Amino acid sequence: MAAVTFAGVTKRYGKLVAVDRMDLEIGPAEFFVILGPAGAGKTTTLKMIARIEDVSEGEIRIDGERITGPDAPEPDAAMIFENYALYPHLTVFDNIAFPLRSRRRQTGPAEIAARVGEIARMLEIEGLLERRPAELSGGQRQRVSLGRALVRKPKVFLMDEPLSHLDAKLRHQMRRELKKLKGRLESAVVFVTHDYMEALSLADRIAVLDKGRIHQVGTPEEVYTAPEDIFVASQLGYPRINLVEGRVLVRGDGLAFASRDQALAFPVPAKLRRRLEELSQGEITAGIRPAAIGIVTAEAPGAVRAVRLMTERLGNRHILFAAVGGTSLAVTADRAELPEAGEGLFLSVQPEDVLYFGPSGQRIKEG
Amino acid sequence: MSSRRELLGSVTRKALIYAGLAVMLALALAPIVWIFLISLKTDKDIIASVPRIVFTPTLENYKAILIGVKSAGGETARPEFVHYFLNSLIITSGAVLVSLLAGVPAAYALARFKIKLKENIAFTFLSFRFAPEIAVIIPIFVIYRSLGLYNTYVGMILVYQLVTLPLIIWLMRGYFEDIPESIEQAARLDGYSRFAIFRKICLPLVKPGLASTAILAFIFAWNNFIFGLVLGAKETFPVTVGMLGFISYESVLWGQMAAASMVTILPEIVIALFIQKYLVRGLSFGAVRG
Repeated sequence: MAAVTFAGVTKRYGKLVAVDRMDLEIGPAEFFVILGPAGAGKTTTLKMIARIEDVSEGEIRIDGERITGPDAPEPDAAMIFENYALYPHLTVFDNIAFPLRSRRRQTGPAEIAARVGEIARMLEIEGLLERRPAELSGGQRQRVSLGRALVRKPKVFLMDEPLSHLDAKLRHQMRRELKKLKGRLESAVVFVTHDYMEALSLADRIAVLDKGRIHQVGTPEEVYTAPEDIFVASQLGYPRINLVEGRVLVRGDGLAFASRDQALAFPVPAKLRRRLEELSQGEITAGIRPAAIGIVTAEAPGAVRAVRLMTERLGNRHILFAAVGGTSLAVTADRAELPEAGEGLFLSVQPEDVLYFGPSGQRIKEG
Repeated sequence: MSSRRELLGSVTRKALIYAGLAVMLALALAPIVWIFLISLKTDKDIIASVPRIVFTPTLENYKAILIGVKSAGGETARPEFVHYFLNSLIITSGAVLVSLLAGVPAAYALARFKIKLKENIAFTFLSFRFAPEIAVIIPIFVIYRSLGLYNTYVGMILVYQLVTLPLIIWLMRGYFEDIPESIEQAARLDGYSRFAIFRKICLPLVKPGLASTAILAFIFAWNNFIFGLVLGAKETFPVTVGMLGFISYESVLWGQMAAASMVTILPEIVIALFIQKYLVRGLSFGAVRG
């Protein structure tokens, strides 16, 4: 049975539609990431599962039990807030023990001590139990808030951008720890983030959300390599996928894609041929990941001359911004590949890795 | 060169600030010092046409108001002062207590609940403070006479709500609003009822604010004069009204009046010393932010 089910869930604030007829099934023990830009409705979605916000339409079920509507029971969900939401006047021990002491659970003091101790060992915060939240660092606070959620063993964990307030180093460390933790959790996790790296690294499945609408649900692999539309493609990956507008032309015995000014052109894989022929007169968009463009010599097949605009040097890996005719492209390159300034720059696109999007923004699939 | 000028500038600025503070301090403290001096003088010293700074201090005035003086030619003893002082304590503490019991939950509701006309309700409470007390005192007097509240502690405590309740509701509302909502949402998900959250999370978090608000309300109520004057009588007069007793047809007992004033402001001074600590602390609890 699905851990969380959304059926036609809509949330309106006055006229504004925050979440638009959402259908979703999150499996038991699944790590489910909701990815989207600010204002996409991610946090609203979480808050509806937690029943901090009521749904305007539709229903949500946890383990098959309806938790929306006036007579529904409180959801058995634990939430980890962006700002941690620890109780400032309680010690770390009391913070973690707080859910166990509620009237609903009424746990005895011996069991509380045992369970808090177990969680503290797991999260390596045993030495902090007597401190108050004000005396903790950001990473430590995040652990405590994690502990407060874990101690309850809820059916669903809700995580609202839990890593976004941590500095980069700590964020990566916590991400690894969450990944380790993931294997031990028996409950589903709904994790909200705007960081595609977090999503790709943690998720079993990702839902890409924009303006309250789900664009795609799939495994990290699917969402990255086979995005449903331009929006999904541009949400994942840095530098962003290069979007080139142009049209399909017949060239020799095959088809080729050419940018508007025809300066950039490359053959279209045979498997897409039939679908693209149907669209051959219309404008389409080619999506080229920066890694799908190689820096080559002038003699290489498919090489086009490019003008170097700017280079972002990131240690071993560089990001090169270049222009081919009127088309600007971002290219990732190793340091060794980068030609000296003044030398001619030639690029070549790997045709099999290019994604094509129709006029409506939907990806053109094989068939 | 320029750093020297800057240094000079900052020194002059500091000097000016301190001079200003000194003037303000002198203005604020002068009357209190003066009354204190009077309270230690004999009648003869008080009415000396050139005020005396140097004199032989006496505690006779304090003795007279607190213990009473053996009649030695007319009415000198005023032991009612102690009674009035206790009246003030009962009425003021009672009023603050009632205001806290009613006002703190009201403030929480106004801060957090979705209530129709919420702002209007809050504004109505504030508006109690708009009209001068003297403007409403006559109707209240008539109502009190017919309800039997005139000259009773209950009546006094009730009418003092006009002073203390709006203050407590408005200040406490601000403190409750400062608590991040996510903390309350976390507690709800942790399995607590709204009331349990109020008691176990919100109240402890606003405690410093609660203390300073209660103290402010106490001072405002303690200083009130008009309600006691019109709605009370000898049995329930607060000390502010009782002080008038030192003025009679024959004479004004300046010395005792000054001594009574000093005793009267004593609780406020003690309390003000507390408030300083709390006002500075306020809700700067720290850990609330992320």
